[in-house]
Amino acid sequence: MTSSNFYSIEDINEALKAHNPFAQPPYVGSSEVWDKEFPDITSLNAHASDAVFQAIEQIRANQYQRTSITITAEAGTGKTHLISRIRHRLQAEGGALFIYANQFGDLNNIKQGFQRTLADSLNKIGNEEVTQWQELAAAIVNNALKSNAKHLSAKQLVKQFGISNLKITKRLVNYLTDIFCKNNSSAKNPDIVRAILWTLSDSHSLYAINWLSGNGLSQHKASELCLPVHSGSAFNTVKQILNLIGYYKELVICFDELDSTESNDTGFTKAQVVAGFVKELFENIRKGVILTVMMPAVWVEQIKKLPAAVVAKVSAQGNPIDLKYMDGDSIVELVTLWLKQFYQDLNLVPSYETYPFTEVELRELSEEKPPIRNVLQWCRENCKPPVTGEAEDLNPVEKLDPVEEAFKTELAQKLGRNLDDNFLLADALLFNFQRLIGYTVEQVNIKKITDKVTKKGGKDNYLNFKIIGTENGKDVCIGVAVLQHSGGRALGAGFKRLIDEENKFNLSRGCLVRSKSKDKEISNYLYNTYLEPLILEGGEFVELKEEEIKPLLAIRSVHKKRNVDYGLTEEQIFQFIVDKAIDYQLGVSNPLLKEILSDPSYQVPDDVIEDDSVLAEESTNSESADFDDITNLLMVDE
Amino acid sequence: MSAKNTLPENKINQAKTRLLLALFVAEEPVMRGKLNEKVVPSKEKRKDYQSVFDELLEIGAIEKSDKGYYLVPSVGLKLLDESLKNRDFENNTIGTWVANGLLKRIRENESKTNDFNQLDNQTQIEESSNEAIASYELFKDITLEVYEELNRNYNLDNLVPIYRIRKEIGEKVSREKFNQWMLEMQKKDVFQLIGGEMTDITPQKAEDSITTKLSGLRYYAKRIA
Repeated sequence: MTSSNFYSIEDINEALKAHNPFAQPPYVGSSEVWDKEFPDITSLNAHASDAVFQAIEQIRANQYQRTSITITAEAGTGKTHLISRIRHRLQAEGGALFIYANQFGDLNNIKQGFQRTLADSLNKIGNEEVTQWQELAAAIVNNALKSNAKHLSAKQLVKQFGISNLKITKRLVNYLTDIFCKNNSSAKNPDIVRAILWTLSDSHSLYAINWLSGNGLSQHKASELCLPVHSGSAFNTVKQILNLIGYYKELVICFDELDSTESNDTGFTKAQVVAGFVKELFENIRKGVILTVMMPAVWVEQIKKLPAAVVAKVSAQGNPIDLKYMDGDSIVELVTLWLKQFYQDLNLVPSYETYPFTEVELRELSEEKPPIRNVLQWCRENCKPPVTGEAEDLNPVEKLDPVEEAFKTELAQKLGRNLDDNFLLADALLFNFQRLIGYTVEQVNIKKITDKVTKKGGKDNYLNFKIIGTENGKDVCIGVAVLQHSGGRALGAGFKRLIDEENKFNLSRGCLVRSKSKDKEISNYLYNTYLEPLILEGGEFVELKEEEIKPLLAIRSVHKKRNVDYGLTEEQIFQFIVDKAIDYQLGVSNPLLKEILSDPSYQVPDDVIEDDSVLAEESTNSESADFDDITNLLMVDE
Repeated sequence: MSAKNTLPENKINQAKTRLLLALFVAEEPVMRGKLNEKVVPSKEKRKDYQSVFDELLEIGAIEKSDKGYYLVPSVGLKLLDESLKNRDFENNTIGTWVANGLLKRIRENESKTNDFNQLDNQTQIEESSNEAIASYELFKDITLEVYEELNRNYNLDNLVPIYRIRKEIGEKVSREKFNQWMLEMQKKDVFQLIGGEMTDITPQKAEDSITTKLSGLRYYAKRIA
């Protein structure tokens, strides 16, 4: 087995023909940051990741409390890759919590977008095999019980909370919240502490995180968790969460994907909006490192044009750190790493590590110092066995449609809390509907899609856009509102617009787009006051299903990143939507788009009403357990 | 009929031009006797044209050897070209040799740049400008100087568009050499050549940037060492 001669060169060549070792598209996204790491040669651009780790060390050693670092590099040089390296090392070594912020939904409301991102990031598994929320909650529990001197691990606590009934858990959470807040005067908002503690309970963490992400709760759930319906100002909540973290752990916040063409209503680009936010964040966090990555031109042309105070806060450590392109050594190392994995998986041993490439040809690539992405692209296009003299019918390597590849990359990204981002979802729907102008779908001939929904042509925070056209020869105007709020007030506001009683929007019918998950059930009151009348007047409740919105979000993402990351034109993307509609549920083949356009059913859904029997039952129980019982519960044996 | 040295200046000048042209055509030393046939008009005295030879010898446009007179190119050719432009050089009758000599001079001028004849023959310019920046080391020094100057004067924040550097360096180096040496500078970690967001790109600017095989267009240079 040790001799490489054992494997015939034919076996290896066949394997290379059957599977391209470089098939994985060379794009690093949030999935690679959070989940399986992209193959990493740690020596490449170690200077940049080391700067971040060094800052964490210095903060830990109390040399200073907070800092910010900017890394600039051209597209494809490894910015996100570097963030992925930082995240994976932190996860392996512990010590610091990690936040990754790349999407903010509405740029006019970045604080809310960041709150959602924060909640989402902390819901990822950290160093202790539980979520980062749970790590934080465990730190709070241990602090509250410090007189009892026995340290409880986050895992033990999650287990303990999992087997307690609601009544006990509730008393426990309230008890811990009270003593923690008594001991820590800096914990200004007990509700935030309470919500974080609820994340230890698997059956409540979904609601608690919803609340922490700013999404609000239904009245019923709010009383169950002893929380107000809404967490209040987004930035205040963010500040307090980060403050709590600062007491127990170091914190790394990474801002990525700033190089997009998006801008807010006042004309600031995404990078500029984020920079302004980073400044505020920097001034308000207790402890931590803020890392911002972008292209050099964005730094010079967008950030440096902002007030000096902003620039200084975005890169407190001085000039941005540059990433390096690949040189001969690192290219050889990279290719070896990829191929090693490939041959190992197939139990093959090639005659030399870089087979089918020669080291000489790999080193030649370094003449122009390419970014890592271009090297991987080259490898993918050229990774085939050497052509032999015989007239072998080597299948020409199928060149993937670049749009398809980009689309698949985006489709592979997890949605997480983005599925609660009304703005982001509506933006994707709007974009995809625009591609249907001129088509007739579900009897509706679409003439115009507009987000200027009011009669005066203004936008609205709840009613996202209108579809204007004709249906069976008659004019029709469908108002669409994505309302993923759990909380009653925002939901009610949205409903009012859809019903459009005062005819502010000139709608012929309103269409509510909303998930039917457990945390999105609506109260009896909302059901009777709004939903029933809406449906009976010809409006619709269209269920938002993750698998149906996913392709729409993915193609919208490709469109947003078309210039910088994917190098595509709008025309290519639009053509792809037309060509691949059936394959990928795009355009006329997307069931969600079709459902929004389809004839109203006049059927009021009955599976969306909240079951409040638990609440009623629980409130009749007397609260008898005393604190000793509760804390004893936590004294679990190892 | 007329006294010595009473020839009008224009006649002397014409004679000088004919002498220079004759030596230019000959491309080798020519004996005085042969030259007199071209310099001294028929029916005129050789002696009257002695000053033509003396003066050209004195300013170093021609030299005299055993085998006869010959042209000193550096001074002689320049003087010839200037004299040809002078209105003095007009004649009613032009000998075949004069016409041929002029043609020869025109053709030569066309294939070579010189101070007063601006020709826009691209390849020739490059050929001769190569001599201006002949080595990578020199190119590097000049380019860094240009880079620093642009960076400073235009507040470019270490992100200097390549097309502007190319413009500054101008024709002192061929386009090909410019690309090659800029990549060399990148390879040696002096510059990083960067693509990315190019807000003001035009086809002309793209053409004047650098395109690489794997990574496409590089628009800015950034100094890293």
